[in-house]
Amino acid sequence: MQYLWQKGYLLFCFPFSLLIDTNELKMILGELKYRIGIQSAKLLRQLKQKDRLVHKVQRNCDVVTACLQAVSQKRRVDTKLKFTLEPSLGQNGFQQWYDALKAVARLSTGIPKEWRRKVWLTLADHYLHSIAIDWDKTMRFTFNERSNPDDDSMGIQIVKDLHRTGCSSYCGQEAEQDRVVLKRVLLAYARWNKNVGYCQGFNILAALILEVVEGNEGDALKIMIYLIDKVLPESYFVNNLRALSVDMAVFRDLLRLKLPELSQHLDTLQKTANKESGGGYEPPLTNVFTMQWFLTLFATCLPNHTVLKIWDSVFFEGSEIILRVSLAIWAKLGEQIECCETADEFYSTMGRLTQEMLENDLLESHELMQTVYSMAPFPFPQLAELREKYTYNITPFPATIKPTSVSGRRGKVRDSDDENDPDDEDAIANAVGCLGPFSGLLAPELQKYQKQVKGSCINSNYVWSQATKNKSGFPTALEREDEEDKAIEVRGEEYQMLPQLFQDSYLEITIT
Amino acid sequence: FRLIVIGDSTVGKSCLIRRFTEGRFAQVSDPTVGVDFFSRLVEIEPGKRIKLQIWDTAGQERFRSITRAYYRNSVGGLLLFDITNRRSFQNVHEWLEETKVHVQPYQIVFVLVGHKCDLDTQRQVTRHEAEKLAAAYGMKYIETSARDAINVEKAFTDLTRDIYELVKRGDITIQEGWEGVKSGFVPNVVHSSEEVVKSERRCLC
Repeated sequence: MQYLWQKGYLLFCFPFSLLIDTNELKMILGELKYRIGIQSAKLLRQLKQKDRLVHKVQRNCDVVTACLQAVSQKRRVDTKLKFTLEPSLGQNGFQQWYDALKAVARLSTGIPKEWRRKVWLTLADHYLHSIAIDWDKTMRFTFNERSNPDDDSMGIQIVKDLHRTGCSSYCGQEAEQDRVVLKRVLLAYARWNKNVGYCQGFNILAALILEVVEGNEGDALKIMIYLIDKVLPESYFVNNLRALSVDMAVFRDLLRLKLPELSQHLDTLQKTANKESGGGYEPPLTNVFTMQWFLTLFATCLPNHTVLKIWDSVFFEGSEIILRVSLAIWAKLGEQIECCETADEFYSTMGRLTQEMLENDLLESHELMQTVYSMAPFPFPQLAELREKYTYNITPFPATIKPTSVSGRRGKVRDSDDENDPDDEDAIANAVGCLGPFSGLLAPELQKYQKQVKGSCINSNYVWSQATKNKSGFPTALEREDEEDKAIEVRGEEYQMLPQLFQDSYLEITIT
Repeated sequence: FRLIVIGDSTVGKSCLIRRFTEGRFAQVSDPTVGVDFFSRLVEIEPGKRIKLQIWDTAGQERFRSITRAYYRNSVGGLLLFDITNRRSFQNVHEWLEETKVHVQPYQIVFVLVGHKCDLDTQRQVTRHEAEKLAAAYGMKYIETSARDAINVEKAFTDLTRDIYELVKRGDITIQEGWEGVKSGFVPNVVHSSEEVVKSERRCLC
């Protein structure tokens, strides 16, 4: 080719030159044709190979699809399962990809680690797209080198926490660059969501995300946004970690339902500790641990590969996975905990067990995830109801969810106010919350409840807003029920069926 | 006994506890998320061993509503501030008010701890004013350093001894079993964090 160019150059330079005879031109032409021929053949070969590879990928995807369908529950919705590496265009394409990847995550091998980065990013991108974000602009704003007026208050805590972020890879001189990136991501998130800002524990989340996206700060921010803004319950990290407290309380109820013996044992230890300390107060024993697990999504208490599996699952199945994993862990530890005879002994034992969980793979990740998926249908029965209930009624010692106890509990101001601000408004709100329509109460109770709501709204605006929130939840439930089956009369017994009905309607929705 | 350690974030609560319970100083440690606990035995007089269960708390403001639930199960507490951080000293008052409100009508025996005293050159709070503040609230004052293991042992044992005296005098009623040694996650050897450091240093020489 080089040679040809030189010839061309000569031709150009000496347009009138007759020095180049026709023979030479013919030679050049011949050579050109020959080389074109070679290149065409090469191109053709490559195109064919590309076709073959595309087919192969397609075939492999089909194999995966077949495998997924084979292991699925073979419902109608499962037959539509189609596995693709990337979502095809349009909302349908994304949904198809999402369903398939969700099924992959449920397999015992889980999402292969080579895919993880791309999978997480696709999810995050889809979310950002759905809320119509101009990402370039966001990047310019959040990663701006110049400081913002608001930065100071947020930045200080980040800087303070940063030098001590304990991921082993972040200490020492070489990690300086990693730390800079981590700080930039945390600050970027704080700028993105000023309401949440920075919460201790974020550094742990961000460090894990950065590890998955191989240090790309923009990608890390996307995933961080998706996780905190979309996947986890609202105000998990703000407002005195209200939603977190709610989930801690919800968790204790789930523990009572799923592991009644362990739950009973822990309650007894707590009660004894309360009695013994003569006026002291022993918070629910599980709190110390669930709090940490929930806030860091297990990043500080389980081995890395297990944590990543859990996160995959959280991204696809939602925050209820966190509660499920916690239940699975307690179930596993239950036997050893039931040997403890005092609260102190319990804490000592747990200190040892948590260490073992982190270091010795006490819980096998595959087994753990199987327990997580099989413990209850999706969505977790009663979870939404319990979350709603506790959002308006956080008490450290929730009584068992028995419809009969409702009237007795109403209006009773709890003396243990430790998870609740001990003001009167809250006491009323508690009473209203107790009567949450989903906890299976009876029709007469409902009328009383509505009266109470009317009564209490005169008392204060705050309570009114709480009550309307609660009330608004109720008609929707009715409407849904009507849609399901108009013949069902709104009688007490039916309310107890509501969770079940919800579940059915959920299935219905997924099928159609 | 149960002791609680409180104070602004990054004053060194976790490091102090680690030094005391594990005898080591970590250059890097995670911020405490929520609450955490440690335990150790101390010998306050020959043959008299007391098991301490030490509760560590997150310093960030938004964790307050959760950590305060743990004030009430403690009989004593260490209130930390960082001698190189004026602000953390100014907040001491706030911390005391906060605990007072939440443990009433009970009381926690506090000791005021000026931490990071190895960084004397960056000191922003004088020993004198800290002692004055402590006296005003009827607390003892002690300066410690987890890095150099200065007074760490003393801070905890003194507090334990004070509580023990109060218990003996009956000012604090404590149920049986609190002071006893229980089986479980308790190191058999009562090691002193200061001694460990000294031996480490000898090895280095």
